Amino acid sequence: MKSKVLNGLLLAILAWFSYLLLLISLQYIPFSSDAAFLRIKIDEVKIWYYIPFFKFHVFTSFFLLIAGFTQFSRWIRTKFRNVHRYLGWAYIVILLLFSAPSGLVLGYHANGGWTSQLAFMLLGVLWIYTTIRALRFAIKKDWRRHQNFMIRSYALTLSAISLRLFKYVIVFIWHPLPMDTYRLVAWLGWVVNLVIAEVIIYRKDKR
Amino acid sequence: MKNLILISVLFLAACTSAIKDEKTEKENPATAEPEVMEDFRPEPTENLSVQSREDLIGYWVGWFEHNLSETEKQALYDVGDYPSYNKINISVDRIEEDSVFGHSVVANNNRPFKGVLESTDAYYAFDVLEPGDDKHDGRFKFRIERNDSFVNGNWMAFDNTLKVYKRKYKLKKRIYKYDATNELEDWFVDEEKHPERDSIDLVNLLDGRSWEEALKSFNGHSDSVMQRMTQDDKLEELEQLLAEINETEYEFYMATDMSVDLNSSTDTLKGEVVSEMSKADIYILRNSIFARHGYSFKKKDLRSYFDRMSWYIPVHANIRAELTELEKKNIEILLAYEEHAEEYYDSFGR
Repeated sequence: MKSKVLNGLLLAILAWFSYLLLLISLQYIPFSSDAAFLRIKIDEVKIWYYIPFFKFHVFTSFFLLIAGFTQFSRWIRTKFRNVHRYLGWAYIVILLLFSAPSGLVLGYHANGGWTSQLAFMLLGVLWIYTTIRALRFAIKKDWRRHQNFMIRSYALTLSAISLRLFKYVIVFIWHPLPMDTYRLVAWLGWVVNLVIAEVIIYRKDKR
Repeated sequence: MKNLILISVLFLAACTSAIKDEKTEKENPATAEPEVMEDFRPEPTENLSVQSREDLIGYWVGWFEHNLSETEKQALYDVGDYPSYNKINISVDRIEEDSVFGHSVVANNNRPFKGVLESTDAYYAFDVLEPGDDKHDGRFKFRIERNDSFVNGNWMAFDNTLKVYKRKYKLKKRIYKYDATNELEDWFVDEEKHPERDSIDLVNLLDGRSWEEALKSFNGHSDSVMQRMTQDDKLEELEQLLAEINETEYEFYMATDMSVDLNSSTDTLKGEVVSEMSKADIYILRNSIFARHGYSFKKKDLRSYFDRMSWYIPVHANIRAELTELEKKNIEILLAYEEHAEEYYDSFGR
């Protein structure tokens, strides 16, 4: 009972932040190369491939968050196996073909110098790696490890939310210079998530 | 169906207050509509002291201070108000016989005047009127001794219900020439007299007053208390006051060294450099371009900041045509970062 309430609460929080991310994505509809984040990417938007990759990233990544509502549910997994399977394929295809490769390109052009570039590109590489591992374990029907790697993959997906949340909290408390905040959250945004994922996996496997 | 999608997209997009803040309106002479006002530029002689009538032609620049009595001033203080002062430029454009024509520029207000000039062996005395169709119009009276380099005078508003209806000034003749290399002065470097701060917040706090005067009115000290306090005590109190004012948005709104080390009229500002700046840096650097062109600012904080630069003279209320290509580029990039910071610095979105 207690865990049901907790589950519901977590899903509600996820829904709220997914909604905020939807709003962030919608800032680029109708598309304009000086909207929101692109306003401070004056040099980058002149590179021929930057805007196409930016569009791939912004308009596909949002859908990956949806996986969080269905794929971790034991009920859907057992009662509606096909739903789990199709949505899982969608998650993997969108992530591997669009969101992650475009994320790598954007990461390469990240503001803040090599520290934030490294952070975002490492995030992209780990995102692809964990998702491929998860896929291969699913094919081998090694469900335990499939689940473990999907927990890691989704933890990295959630960095879209946690990065902005860290930024909000850090600015709220310390008011640092914008770029200092950015360099910090480029790492915090996914490393913390990955640590939490490992804790979850460790506790799950111990049971 | 297509319409339905579009409507819902627009509706959702309207909820953006959850992810970003509102932009404020900018004072941006780079895009402002050109004014119709005839901008007369006098051709002054090089003489900074007045040896002949010709030497009177030109810009007379200095502080336009209130001339209120102690009780009138106190009445303003009591309602949490205080008379501000600004740099004024009284331009004597043309002298014909005993008639004089000119204009004054202060606080983004460029107003013509005309009147009479009284010449004696000892002095020149001016008595000139503004047109009277603006509520801040009035009458300037000023005089200068022969061979002197200071003009002394006063100004009375036609409308004596204005908050500050009379003012005084002591002006020096200045030759204005656009100089891209004019540097921003770190004007709190004298630690004996001033706290070591280069901040637009302090400028706002002072708002034309000396910092001791500001301290006195903010903390409600009497004259005798102020006299008993040591310089260190006062500085400490001022620091506290500033910290309180900036309680929530301290660092970000403080200018860093970048605002004085860079020159936005001569350096090409790259995105990677601007992205490292605080909002105050960006704000100061963008507006310093206009200041170098002698733009007279509308906004109080900008006036207070640039009025204190020794090279700054308010010359025009419209400088759009004067900007160089480099400056236009820098304004564009600074404005992009300034607006982005305003919307996204402390919000969830980006």
